[in-house]
Amino acid sequence: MKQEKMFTAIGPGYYEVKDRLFDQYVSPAYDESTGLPSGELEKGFAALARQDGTMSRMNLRSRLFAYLLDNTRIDVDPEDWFADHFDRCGDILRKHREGWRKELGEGALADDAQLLARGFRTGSFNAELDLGHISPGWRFLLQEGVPGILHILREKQQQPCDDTARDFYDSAIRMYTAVLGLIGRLEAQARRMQAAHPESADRMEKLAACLHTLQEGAPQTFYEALQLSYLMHQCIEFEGEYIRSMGSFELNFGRFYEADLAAGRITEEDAKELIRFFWLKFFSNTRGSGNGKNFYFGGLTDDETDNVGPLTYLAMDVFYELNLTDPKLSIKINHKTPQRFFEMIAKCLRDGRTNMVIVNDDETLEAIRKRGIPKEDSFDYLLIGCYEPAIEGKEVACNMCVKYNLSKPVELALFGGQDPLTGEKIGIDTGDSESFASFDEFYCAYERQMEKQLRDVQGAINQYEERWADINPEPLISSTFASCLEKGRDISQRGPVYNNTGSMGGGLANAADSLMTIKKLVFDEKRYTMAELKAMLRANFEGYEREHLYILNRVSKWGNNQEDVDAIAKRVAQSYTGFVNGVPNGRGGRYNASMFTLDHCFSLGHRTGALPDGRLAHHYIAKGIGTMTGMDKAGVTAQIQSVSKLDFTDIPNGSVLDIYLHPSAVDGEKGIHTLINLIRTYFNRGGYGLQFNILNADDLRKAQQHPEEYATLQVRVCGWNVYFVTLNEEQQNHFIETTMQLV
Amino acid sequence: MSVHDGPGIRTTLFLKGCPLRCLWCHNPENLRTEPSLSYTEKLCVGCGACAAVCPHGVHGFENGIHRLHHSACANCGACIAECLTGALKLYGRTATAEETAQLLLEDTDFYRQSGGGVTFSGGEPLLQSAFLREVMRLLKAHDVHIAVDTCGAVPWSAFEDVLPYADLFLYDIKHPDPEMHKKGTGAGNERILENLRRLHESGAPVEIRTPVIPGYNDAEETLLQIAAILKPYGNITCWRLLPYHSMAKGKYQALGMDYPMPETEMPDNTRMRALQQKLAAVCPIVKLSSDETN
Repeated sequence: MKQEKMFTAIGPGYYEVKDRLFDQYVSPAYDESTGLPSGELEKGFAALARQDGTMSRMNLRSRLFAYLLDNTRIDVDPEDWFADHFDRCGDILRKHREGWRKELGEGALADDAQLLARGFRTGSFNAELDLGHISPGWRFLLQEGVPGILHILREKQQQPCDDTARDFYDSAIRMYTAVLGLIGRLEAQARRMQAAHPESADRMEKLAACLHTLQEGAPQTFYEALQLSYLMHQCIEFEGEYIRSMGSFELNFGRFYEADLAAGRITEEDAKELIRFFWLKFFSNTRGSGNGKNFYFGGLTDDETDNVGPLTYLAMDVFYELNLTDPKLSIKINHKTPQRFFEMIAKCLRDGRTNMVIVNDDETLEAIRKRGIPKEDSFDYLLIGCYEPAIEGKEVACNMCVKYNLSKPVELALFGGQDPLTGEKIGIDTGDSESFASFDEFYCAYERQMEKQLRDVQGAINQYEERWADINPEPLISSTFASCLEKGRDISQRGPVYNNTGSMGGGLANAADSLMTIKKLVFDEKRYTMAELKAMLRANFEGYEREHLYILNRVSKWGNNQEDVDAIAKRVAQSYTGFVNGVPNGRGGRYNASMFTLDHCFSLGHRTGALPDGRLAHHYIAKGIGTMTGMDKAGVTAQIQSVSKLDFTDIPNGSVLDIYLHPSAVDGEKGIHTLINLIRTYFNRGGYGLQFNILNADDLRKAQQHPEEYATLQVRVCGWNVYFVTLNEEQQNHFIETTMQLV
Repeated sequence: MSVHDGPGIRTTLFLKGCPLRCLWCHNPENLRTEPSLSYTEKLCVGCGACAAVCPHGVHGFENGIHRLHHSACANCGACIAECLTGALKLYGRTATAEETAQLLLEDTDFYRQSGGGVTFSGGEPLLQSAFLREVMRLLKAHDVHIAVDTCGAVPWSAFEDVLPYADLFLYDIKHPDPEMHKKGTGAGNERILENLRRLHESGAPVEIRTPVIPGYNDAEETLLQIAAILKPYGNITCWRLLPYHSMAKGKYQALGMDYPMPETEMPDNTRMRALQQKLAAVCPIVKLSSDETN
């Protein structure tokens, strides 16, 4: 059968237009004839917003959304394969929502807001109602399309239901109707472009036809599925949430691709070209700095098979070829992972495409089931944000509500509940640490301080969660959850099947190493008294240089496969997960623990005094679940052995171990197998998530001095990659310090 | 973690003492049998604690600059205990076979997964063949793959000690010509070639390694002569070409030793690959360091 190239035959290719399209969101111009100027739009918005109090907030939100979408200016780029440009009016909906959050924080939830502010001020925790760690039910959306969801909503609206459900259906219908209207307007614009740009007529014809189909029903082709998913991404983010997972590339799009291929509607090269244009959208949004969007690849669909299929291999080729920081990938590796796929992943890592997290699928499934999710649902987890599992289309896991500093209770136990930097009394009275007779007594104080802080923050978050519907009702994303449609409840009203909350424990290394110092030097060896140690900390080790060196270099540090400190780290993890897992949240669900720090290692660290592990005041704390920067003296295998001593089934909200390797350790053909074997060994030992930086410090120093020559050098920050040259100096130095001892 | 000394992920143990003195040696800390004191200037904070405890006057401070008299060092380790920054290090210590094996078994999970194991290197590990044999016996009880990285310039009896336990020999052939061999390493290659022949007789798998030293052995005809030497031996699994590098310079300085190698360019990947491809025509098993053996 002769295959006609649908998408690569006519018009400019990706490499001809990528530089121009890269700027598509920087200062977008919209067609003036398509809507109101932003000033007028804002006035209309403000007039509508004044109706707050006369109707439910959900109702009002839907009206605001529909008003904007109906009247905002749009445009279609004649050289782009996808249409999604509309004037977002400076994300006015999101700003408006923040007003509602503030209003609650200054009114009914003032005490809770103050508690959260104090937590931030003292480097104890960064915590807030997490509206941004959500993923739509992608497969449901792609199966129904916008008209399909609208149809279900209308059917439900006709059936008897309570007022809350009626309000939900009315609001959602209003919003989906607006989305349909937007698609229609984009189609018309594509038609205008078709007429105005004869050289792009073919492309615009196909785009218009695609947009037309999406108004009639569900997507039928690979192209239509990509178009719908990106446009809905834009609309949902406009509604007010950040989407933190784009779902499974294979499960979302594979069936469309294979059907197109079988029917001769597309060639492999066509599909690659579409993926290039599609992914450029994501890259243009972050432009090499900041957190991006992830797709996941691989993963068991049931106990017998992995979902990797032809589209996965095709997409991985494009991913390697583009070498962009966005999108980022989440890779599920399990006992059925095809070797060819694993080798493609390792090749990406080896060659600097490190913007991916590798997750132990088998272990994650166990952790998810342990927190009560039935087996049949467990396979559908996607990785929210960086590493945090949530069941697609069934769970809103608010994975990043609480970001807790595990070393803060060390300070509080030492200083009788007082935060040493601010002088604020924020902890409870656990006695005078100088009178403690044993390390266990100290640990008990540490644990009690931790428990109190966590109970406080959980209490405040629960209050916020109960008022979520007053802050951010969101019928658009909610209607991609079948259970929300069924119950007539928004995700802020417990609509999803699972309504959980994530609580991240950060800086495990600092907590464990600090406790190790206290155990060894104060209690076991009696080298220093507790009073002397406290004096060193108060002085930020100034005048105690020798003691500081002794602490840094003569006490075991987490992550080097040393029994003594590893046992303490394990104990800290058990204490923390014990105070988190299973605790009821404010939405009828439970808290789930994660262990990593992300870039909160800076904000928490800046507000933390000198610690007994030798870390100086205001310095960042450890970023992942592994060693403190510069303390991995025994190499990567020792770090893997240490960290895999933790029980990751008790850390269901995820974790990550940062692996730093010198490029020479993984060069050549053998490097691919070395990477696979490192990953496999960690996973065989029960480890959870891994991410890699394969760098040498010399290159980073050169990049600092000559950024222009290293413009495309990627580094993995947390659950995302950025170009090294876009980081600030502190962050750049963090990478240099971390890679310095690699050989 | 070591990945360039045999198959899979490995741990390499360096044993001290070497019969050769190769100009390009990149492990000068292992040339002597006795421990070697090393001083890394950039880690020194000038606290003087070393000078205070040293009974032999090795450490002195002149105008705040730390000066070492390496020749006076008796390897007592007193300064090492006091040096908290790690600027002072002592390479080498005495260990029992049991504790050595224990240490080497720590990464067993990685060996199993990757088909890796333990490599004994140096220095010349076969100078301590009786000790080696005992460590190897203990490792073999745990089914660990064992490679011995040797220069070959030792009595055949040393090979006999380890033959029952070694799964692979990493065997250096540095030059085909005895005189040139002596020039570069301080000794001729007769014994080395004879031991290679006997290894062949024993049937033990051998991977040949040749450091490619510009101006010394990198001429095509020199390498072709090595290929000719290897040709009759069916026990050779692979011939690996390793590019010369000068990264050990810092170690020489830290040990108070002169760098014996004249200024020499370092062959880059392109040059190495070109050499490898040329030689592959006559010797299909020739590889570069990060190539898989098959």
